[in-house]
Amino acid sequence: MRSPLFLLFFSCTLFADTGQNLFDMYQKGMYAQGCDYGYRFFARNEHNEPFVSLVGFSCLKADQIDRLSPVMSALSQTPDARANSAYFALIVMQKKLLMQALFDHKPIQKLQFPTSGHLLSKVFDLYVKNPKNNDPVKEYQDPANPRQSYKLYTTHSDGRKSIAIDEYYDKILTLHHVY
Amino acid sequence: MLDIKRLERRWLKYKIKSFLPYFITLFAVLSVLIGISLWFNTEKPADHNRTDTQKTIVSPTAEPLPPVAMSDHNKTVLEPSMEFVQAFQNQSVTSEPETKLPPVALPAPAVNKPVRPIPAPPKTLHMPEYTPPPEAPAGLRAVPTVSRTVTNDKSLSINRNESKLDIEDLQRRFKETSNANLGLFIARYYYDHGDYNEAYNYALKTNNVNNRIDESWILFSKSLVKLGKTDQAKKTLQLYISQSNSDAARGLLDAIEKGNFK
Repeated sequence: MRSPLFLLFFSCTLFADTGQNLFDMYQKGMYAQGCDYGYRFFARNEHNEPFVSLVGFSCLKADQIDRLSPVMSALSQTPDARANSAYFALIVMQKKLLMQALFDHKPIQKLQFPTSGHLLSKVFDLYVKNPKNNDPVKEYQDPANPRQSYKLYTTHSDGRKSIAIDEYYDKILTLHHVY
Repeated sequence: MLDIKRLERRWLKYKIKSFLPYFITLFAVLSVLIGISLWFNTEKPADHNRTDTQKTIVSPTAEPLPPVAMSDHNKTVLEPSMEFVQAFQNQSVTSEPETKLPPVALPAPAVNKPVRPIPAPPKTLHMPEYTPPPEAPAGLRAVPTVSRTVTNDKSLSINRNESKLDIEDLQRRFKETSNANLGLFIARYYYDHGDYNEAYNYALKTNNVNNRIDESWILFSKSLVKLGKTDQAKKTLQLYISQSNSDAARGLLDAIEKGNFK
């Protein structure tokens, strides 16, 4: 009788520690490590929606958008989780559509999508409005902040086709993202 | 002799005939009921929608989290929900009641707020405490003279080409390690070589890694002046001085205002 109770207690503390470790990593800004860590313990915590949400935001902050697919599938039980699931799904979808548009010249101008505050959504909206088909590197100015601009182009990362977005402030490169 | 099989068959037919009116009546009633229900279903969708929307309009107090908002251009804006973080905070509070967590750096949930902060120099200045600069202010003022000697000396221009390979290695290492000292070194290197764009870039990156390095802010401001953004440099220095009380920054601000540093 004692051993099952001990195992139950041990597994509960282990899950708690896993979530807390992930939360600590997120707070320290170790998003890539947090994403890897969350993925390692994902199967055990699949029904722990706060944990899954935090894995999603860690991966999103680390620009690892492809890792959001299982995350958004696992979020469904609470309004909080469903909001995050829809948010992640939007960003994944916009990335996939941008990739198809940039690599295969698929016209996506007529698509009407929701938007979000994420950089990909911003650039997606700008691309849909003006695809600049003749430019290999598409440059857009942020309508909300004229000093902020973005460059969207195709790239290869670790032998995989991907898209890159560079953030510029006053024409000076500030952040480089590869999705 | 009685033919039992024939009699049984006749009895079965008789029974079926006796139940037939009930079957017919039941079938008719059922078909009428199904018809009525189908008719109501085809008529009601509009009503259903109306009641659903009414519910969503009436119930925001009951439903605490409507994550979908409408922007100015009638475009739906999806926002992340951060209520799940409370679960972690409560957990940490219950397990470690005496330890205090630092404020959570959450992804921006606002509609028009970018997820990544715009690296506008004044906004990135959040220094909790002042630490003494790594070099004395006099040493910092000597930086332009060093750059002058570098530009005037021909033998040093040969070293530049050699060190170009090294700086690439340093840049790679800085990308991997995010070491503030490396970033500062690279920013200083580019500033000395007159590449003020890159100097600004690396000083900014260094400030993002560690915003308490005096020289990094000074290089940042000097690069801004060299790029013709004197007002922005002044604002950055004023904000930095107000938070760090740096003598070196104050000296540079005075020099910029008097026009001694251009």
